Amino acid sequence: MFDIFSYEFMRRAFIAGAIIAVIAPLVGNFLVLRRLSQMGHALSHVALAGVAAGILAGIDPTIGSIAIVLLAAFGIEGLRKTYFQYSELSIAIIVSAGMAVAIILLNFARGGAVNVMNYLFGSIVSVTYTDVVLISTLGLLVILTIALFYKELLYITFDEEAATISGLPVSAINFLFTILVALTVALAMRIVGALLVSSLMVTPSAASLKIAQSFKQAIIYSIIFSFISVFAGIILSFYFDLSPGGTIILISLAIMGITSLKK
Amino acid sequence: MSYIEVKNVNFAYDGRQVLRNVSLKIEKGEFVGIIGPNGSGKSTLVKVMVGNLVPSTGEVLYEGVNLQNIKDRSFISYLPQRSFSFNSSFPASVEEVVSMGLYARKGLFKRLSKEDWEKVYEALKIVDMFEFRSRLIGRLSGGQLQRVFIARSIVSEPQILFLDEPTTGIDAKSEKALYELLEKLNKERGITIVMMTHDIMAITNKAHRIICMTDGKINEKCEAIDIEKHDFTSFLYEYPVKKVKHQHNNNGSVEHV
Ligand SMILES: Nc1ncnc2c1ncn2[C@@H]1O[C@H](COP(=O)(O)OP(=O)(O)OP(=O)(O)O)[C@@H](O)[C@H]1O
Ligand SMILES: [Mg+2]
Repeated sequence: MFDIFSYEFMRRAFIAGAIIAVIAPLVGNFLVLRRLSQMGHALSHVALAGVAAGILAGIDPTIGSIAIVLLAAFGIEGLRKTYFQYSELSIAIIVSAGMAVAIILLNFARGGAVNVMNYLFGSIVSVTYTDVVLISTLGLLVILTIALFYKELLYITFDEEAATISGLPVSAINFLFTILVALTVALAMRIVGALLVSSLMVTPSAASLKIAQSFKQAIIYSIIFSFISVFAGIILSFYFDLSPGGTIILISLAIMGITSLKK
Repeated sequence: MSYIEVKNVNFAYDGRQVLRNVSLKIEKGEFVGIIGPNGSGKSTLVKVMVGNLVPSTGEVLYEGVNLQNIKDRSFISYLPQRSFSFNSSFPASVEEVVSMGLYARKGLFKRLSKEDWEKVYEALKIVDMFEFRSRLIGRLSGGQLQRVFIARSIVSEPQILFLDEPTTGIDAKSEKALYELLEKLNKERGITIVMMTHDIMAITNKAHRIICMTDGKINEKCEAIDIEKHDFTSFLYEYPVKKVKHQHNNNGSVEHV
């Protein structure tokens, strides 16, 4: 049974998976409750453009996607101010820009097509040592930042106006949060793939909303659900040669189905 | 020098004048009611007074200091109009919501201490919602919710409490309880209270003084009206009402006769 751990690449996948299983729902909860769940979706398209740019420039694609997605975070901030009454419009603009750039760059980067597939659909066998280092350090940074700004993020998510009036530095924290979302997308994409990264941010939170009795519980449950999904997903995809991203999300959806049975 | 002074304040939304040369003074420990028809500028005035909006001309002074120069505003607490028009499926418990009132004061990176949670429970006891502390916020009635928000406004021990139509949408019993609570905070803790409302009967019974707004201006004639006779309704809304007499009984509450 535990022969699975004897493979170096599986150990890397589990380490990366563990970190991703924590940060995706952690950030995702705030996104869902702020009705911004589409933002993860938008940024994953941008991240794909970053992967393509990375392959073209000959640098690590994960680093490329992190760089581009962070740049996009600034763009989103600007768009939010311009179209703040049409937040879904800003999302659509970001998706379009990300996809358009990604497609053009990918055309040039034909040679790296296999590599791109790994980022599009997620992969466990191709998680590199660099990926593990990046995911661990930046992932821990995301966790630490959320822990430090937990109460501010909670207040802003619950009632942005009241948080502003009470004197919290709301715009600065909003900006910081956009960066956290960008980082999470770029990191989580490695395992679940660009197409499903926003699902991993949203579905565990959707499941925990059904049973949580407080915000703290909502966060804890969503992380537990995400952990179960990611680990079971990685194991199943290893033994049955399934796509890890798809397997993880299906398990996560099944958990959501179970929790919504509760009235 | 007055505790709060609004001095010749003008305010316009996108070029449309909403506050016209508003001046008023409020003393420490007062319970002031602000009344006026819809759109007369009450909410705008309170937003200017708490520093949420900056006047185009004029100034708001607290003990003689311009609000714009006051960094720490935690002595002011403000409960906005329709403050519970939030996402009712938000997974926050009552105590979590009340604790939010302490966040700004606590400062970045600091977690709430045991004493902070004691304050949260204390505030919940004051509004009589302690038993509900672990309940999800979405599982409360409108009146209970409003009391939770009041607890959030008082948990930071403010010296001034601004409430914008806090009784809208709550039943007569909760409304009575709310007024009793405000009187208690005002009398026992010396909190200055400024409250906007359309409930002229209740506010004239409870407040020390009424300020009337019409069309973005303070209506001076209104201040001259005897609060005991409370004929504000007919005055402000040009709508005749029968006067109701009331007398104070010895425990300080007011009875209608
Ligand atoms: N955010 C805003 N942008 C533009 N105009 C506004 C805004 N808020 C209020 N107004 C306008 O300013 C005027 C005063 O509004 P305000 O909300 O201060 O009135 P109010 O006395 O509180 O009314 P109500 O009794 O209905 O609460 C109104 O004509 C209103 O249309
Ligand atoms: Mg109003």
